[in-house]
Amino acid sequence: MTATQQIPLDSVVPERPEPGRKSRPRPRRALTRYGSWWWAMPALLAVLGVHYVATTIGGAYAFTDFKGIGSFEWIGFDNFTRIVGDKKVFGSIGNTLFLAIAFLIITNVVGMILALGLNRGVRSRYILRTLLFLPVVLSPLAVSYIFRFIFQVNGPLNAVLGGLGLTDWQHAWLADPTWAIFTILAVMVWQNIGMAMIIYLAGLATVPLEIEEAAAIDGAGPWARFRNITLPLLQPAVAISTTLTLTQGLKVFDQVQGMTGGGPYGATDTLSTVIYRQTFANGQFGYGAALSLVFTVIVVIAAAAQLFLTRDRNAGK
Amino acid sequence: MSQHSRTLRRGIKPAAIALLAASAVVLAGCSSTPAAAPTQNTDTKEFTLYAPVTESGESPYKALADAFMKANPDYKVTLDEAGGDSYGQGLTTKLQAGNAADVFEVQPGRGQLYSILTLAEGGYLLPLDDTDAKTTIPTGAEGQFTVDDKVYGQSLDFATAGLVANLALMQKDGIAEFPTTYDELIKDCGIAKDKGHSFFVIAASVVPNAGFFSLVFSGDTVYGPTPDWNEQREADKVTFADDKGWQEALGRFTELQDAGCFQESPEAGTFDTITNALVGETSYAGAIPSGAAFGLGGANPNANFVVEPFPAPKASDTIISASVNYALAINAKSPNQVAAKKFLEYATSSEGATVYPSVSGNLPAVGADFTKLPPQFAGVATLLQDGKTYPLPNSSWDSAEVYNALGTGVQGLFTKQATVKDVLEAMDAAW
Repeated sequence: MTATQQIPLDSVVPERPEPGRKSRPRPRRALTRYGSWWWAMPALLAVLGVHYVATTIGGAYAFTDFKGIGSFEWIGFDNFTRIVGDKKVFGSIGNTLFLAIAFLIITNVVGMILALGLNRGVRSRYILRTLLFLPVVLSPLAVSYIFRFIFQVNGPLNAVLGGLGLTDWQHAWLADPTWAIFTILAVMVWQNIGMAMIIYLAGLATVPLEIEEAAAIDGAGPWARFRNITLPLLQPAVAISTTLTLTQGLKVFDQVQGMTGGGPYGATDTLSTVIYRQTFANGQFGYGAALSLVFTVIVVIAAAAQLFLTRDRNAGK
Repeated sequence: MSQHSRTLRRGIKPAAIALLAASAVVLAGCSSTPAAAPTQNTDTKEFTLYAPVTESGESPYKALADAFMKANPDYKVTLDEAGGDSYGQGLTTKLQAGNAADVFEVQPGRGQLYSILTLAEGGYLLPLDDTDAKTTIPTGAEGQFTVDDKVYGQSLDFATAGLVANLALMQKDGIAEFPTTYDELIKDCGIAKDKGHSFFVIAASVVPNAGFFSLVFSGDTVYGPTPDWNEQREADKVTFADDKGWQEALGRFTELQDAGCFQESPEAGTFDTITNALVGETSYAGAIPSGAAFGLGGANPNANFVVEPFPAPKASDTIISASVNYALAINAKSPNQVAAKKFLEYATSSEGATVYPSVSGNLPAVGADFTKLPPQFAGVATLLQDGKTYPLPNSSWDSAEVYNALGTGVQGLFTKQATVKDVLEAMDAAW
């Protein structure tokens, strides 16, 4: 971190001319510095206009009774009061948190195991890595529709189970209040496990082989080497992967909408699907905007908590 | 603190204020009503038509547009189609943004996002009083097309909402006729089950079909005895939860399920399930739009699909929903209203009025002779002649949310996650 040199600001900022003194032309470096701020203006304005102004306007709708068309009235906090009394919203928050946490844990644990297994040694590791990563590049909605077919009552999965004589295991997977959410979780994990694996493979590439070898010579077993050497050195990769999977899990929409639409009777509803349905199917834009604000707060809190827990505790020491 | 940081900090506060101010101005602009009528291009002979895509078979909108252009070779209609799921949202977004098509499909009443009354009250539709639109509205349905005595929609066809049944399959299983009472229906469910079939196929995981089934059930229990039930609900004189008719209607799902009337795992049924079961001859009947009887017949020549009413406990109480499903409206901001009106005039002419229903499989909006119906409608001809009909109930409901609560609730009835009381209370809450 010593490669970059801090340049004292006073050395580049021109002195203000004293009163009465004839001002001199500004030094070229100072002009460049001021110019650099303005050069960023087009991009800044684009970000402001597309992101922040749009988000602020969207947030403001939370205090209206806008139906998606026509005029609207300002109704204060009525939409938020409605949220507090809406049992289905609380059910969807529970489902969202369940999916997010389960998705985070399973995807990262299995992704890390796959990365460790395919890091070195296995001759076909490059082919296996490619095969495991392939689902990541597919459209989540397309994948959801394919799995909806697979999980249908008369679909291939039940046919295979029936063929194996496991008729008791056959279910209406996507319409069973108990199994539906686990079915969605399985599809989420299947499609995203490759991403976690790639992140951990990148992290493992930075772990020096010599340290592991030295530990092995000193008598450390595989678990001890992983616990005390590999995992601490993978800390940045863990932080990145868990952050991505947590936010992805909290935002899950495609898989739920594509496979169950939130059913049966709300058993797989997440906040995203409730927001979508209220906003676009029911035309309750104001209520949908209020739900979106609540959702944003939940995502921010969860992401901050997750970043705090996975922070590098040795940083700065 | 560096000067650079100070410069940025000094800029943040005004920028935040400007951001909020800009947002408020934009939002205030959004809350305004549509602008005044645009300048008309009286010479233009081109316009756009926006409609939902037809899932299978020929699009009746394309047929109508093609017929119009054939009759008027100097006119050009550009058909813009959207998926059925996103059509309503797409239309309202375009109307709000001011770039909607000149002519588009709407639904009578108020029950959907793109219903006539909702859009007309927002100022998005052009009054059609100087056209023949009024003549296309069936008697008794004027309220679903009119705001402040001005007509805003033109009917396209007249559809019955009952059951579509494969009579040939039933007869093969030894059931000579479609049941005329509820008890006969329960008995026939047993026969179907013994033959390895199911009497009904339902897509209970899909709101539109689960809701549609419920509306069919509610004919003899709610809208037959109390034709003005929706008006009473609007006036808060009745509620779904306390109404015996609605309780009986939704209770039929459990009764029929217990009698083995539905296919295996009805809660998992989708639209594909219906098509496969009816065309593949594993189920006798489904609650689907009557026009489907023609489309399904084409897919299986051995089948004999007919339109039938849901049998009431007493045959004399049987009633069928019959009303206008779809209509056309003109964008109030359209610069091509002259050409658009000519299109609507063609759709009501003797030549054009039969084009849309001949493709959709329904009856003409006006002037249908119920004594000379196609053979598929034989089972409901007497009901139509006697006027034993009721309009599709949800077109008069307060919002789309009520119908969604009904549709999702039916799946809950099958999975035992909800009771009839739960579903009806959810509908009241959504009203």
